[in-house]
Amino acid sequence: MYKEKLKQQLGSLLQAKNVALFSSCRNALYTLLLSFDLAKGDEIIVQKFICDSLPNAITAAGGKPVLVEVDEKTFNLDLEEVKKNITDRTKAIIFVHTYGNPSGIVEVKELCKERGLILIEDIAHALGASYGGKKAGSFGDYTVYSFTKQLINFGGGALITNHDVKEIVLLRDSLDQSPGFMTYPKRFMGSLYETRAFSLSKVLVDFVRRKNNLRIANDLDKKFTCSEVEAYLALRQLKSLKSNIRKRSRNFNYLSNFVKTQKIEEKAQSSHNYLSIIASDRQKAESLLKKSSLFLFPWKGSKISDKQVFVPNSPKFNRKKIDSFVKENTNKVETKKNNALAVSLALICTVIISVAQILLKFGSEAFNISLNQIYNYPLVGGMALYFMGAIVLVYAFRQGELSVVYPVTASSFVMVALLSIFFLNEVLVLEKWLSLGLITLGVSIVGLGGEK
Amino acid sequence: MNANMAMLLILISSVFGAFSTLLFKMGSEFKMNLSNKKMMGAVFLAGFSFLFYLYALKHAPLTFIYLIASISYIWAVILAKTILKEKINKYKIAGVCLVCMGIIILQI
Repeated sequence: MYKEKLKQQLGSLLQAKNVALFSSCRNALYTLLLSFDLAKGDEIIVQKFICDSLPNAITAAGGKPVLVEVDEKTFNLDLEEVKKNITDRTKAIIFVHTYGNPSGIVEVKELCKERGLILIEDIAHALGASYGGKKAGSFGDYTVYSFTKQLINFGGGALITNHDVKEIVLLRDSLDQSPGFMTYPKRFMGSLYETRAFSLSKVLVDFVRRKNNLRIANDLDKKFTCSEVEAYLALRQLKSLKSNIRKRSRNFNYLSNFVKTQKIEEKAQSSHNYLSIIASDRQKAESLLKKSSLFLFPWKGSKISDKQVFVPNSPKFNRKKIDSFVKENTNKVETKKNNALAVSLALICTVIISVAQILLKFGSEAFNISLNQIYNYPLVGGMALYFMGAIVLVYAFRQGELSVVYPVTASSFVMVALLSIFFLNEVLVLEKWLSLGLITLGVSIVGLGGEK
Repeated sequence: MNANMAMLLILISSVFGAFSTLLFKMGSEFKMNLSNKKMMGAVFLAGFSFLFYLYALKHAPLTFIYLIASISYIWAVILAKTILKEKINKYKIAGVCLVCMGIIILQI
């Protein structure tokens, strides 16, 4: 039911007659290539700057992937390089709209027409992008799409075309097996990172990437068909795709004020699925990588791989977030150092914490492990005061040096002793008074030392 | 567990504590939020320090504990000098020594 609706919607979006749903983009491509009945040595041209899963799918389908360099600016196929690499055995060209950028599609389409080659578009990142008003994905003979790059999903992909798909669908169903155990969780995590980009999701993706340095991660799935759940999730999110792309464009435009980033040709409307920053060399790229925990190095193997970092372009990013990618330490608080103020704040902190300690001592007498401890007012109050003390200490540290502020907090020993005399009726012997005097003297001297 | 082991635990606790303080100081220069990694690290290390401290508290003579706890002030000065490149003058050294002496006498 949802599958039918999704097929309709994708078809009408790209003005194509036929849509076949798959378990993933790569499986769609594989099945398509398989239906071409490639002979050994038949070449498929694809860009070098790409996820391994594409060449893998070509090889698996019996073709020979010919990896071609990309344009340094647009990250898409370099027309001159493509021309150099076309041979008698070339069957098809796969045009990847890298990061959602359709720049260069028209030239490649013309080339394909001229040489009688099949044009396959990979719009995994680029649904909603367009070139000269024509949607990305409506140029080629065949178009493959993934549900896990622009949308959050467990998997799913589609083949969209004006050609007949009956044979391909039959082929797909004959290949279908039950999915591997980790397929769905892995895909979901990847998709979460690619669409929402938060630190934790990146950590998970990093982990999976490292674990699967084995090529399994980029291999074909055993399962070939799309499930109703995947179709439903995709359908739901396609509704907000347009507004998400608007937000992503806004992010891209803001970022491009500060740094060199992917070039989008004038006629092209990118869907800006990733934000990228082009650095002059590997070292610069690495220093960018350190600035934000969200950045990753892109696909390896191309000449632009080392000079660039990217971050999935979340619609939730705001200017402040993007500032943090390009500007130095925007979170740093500018304060004038003032040791006298720092010492005073540290003293206030110790007063608060000493009172907290006395309260906790009272509270601990009635302490047991149960919920009614929330009525144990001295305990709760003591903890609240402790927290306040910590906040005040932050301000003290902001103003002054560690070697001044921290020793000053030792005065809490004195305060606690004095408070114990008043509130807990403790009695101090002479040595104790002497030691309190020593601490006070020490603190004063340290405080003075900070002034020097 | 013997007293040496307990001493070792307290020493570990004080090292964790010292680095926690250092991170706290470094983190205080940034805005306070959950993405302030230094501050989060400080909280984490303080927790570790506290765990070791509790464990040692069970086994070591109390005086030892305070003796080594007072070393945290010396740690702070050393870290301030080596990592934060703060200037350490005679006043600071004398003051910290007096504080340590005071704490030890107070607890004996």
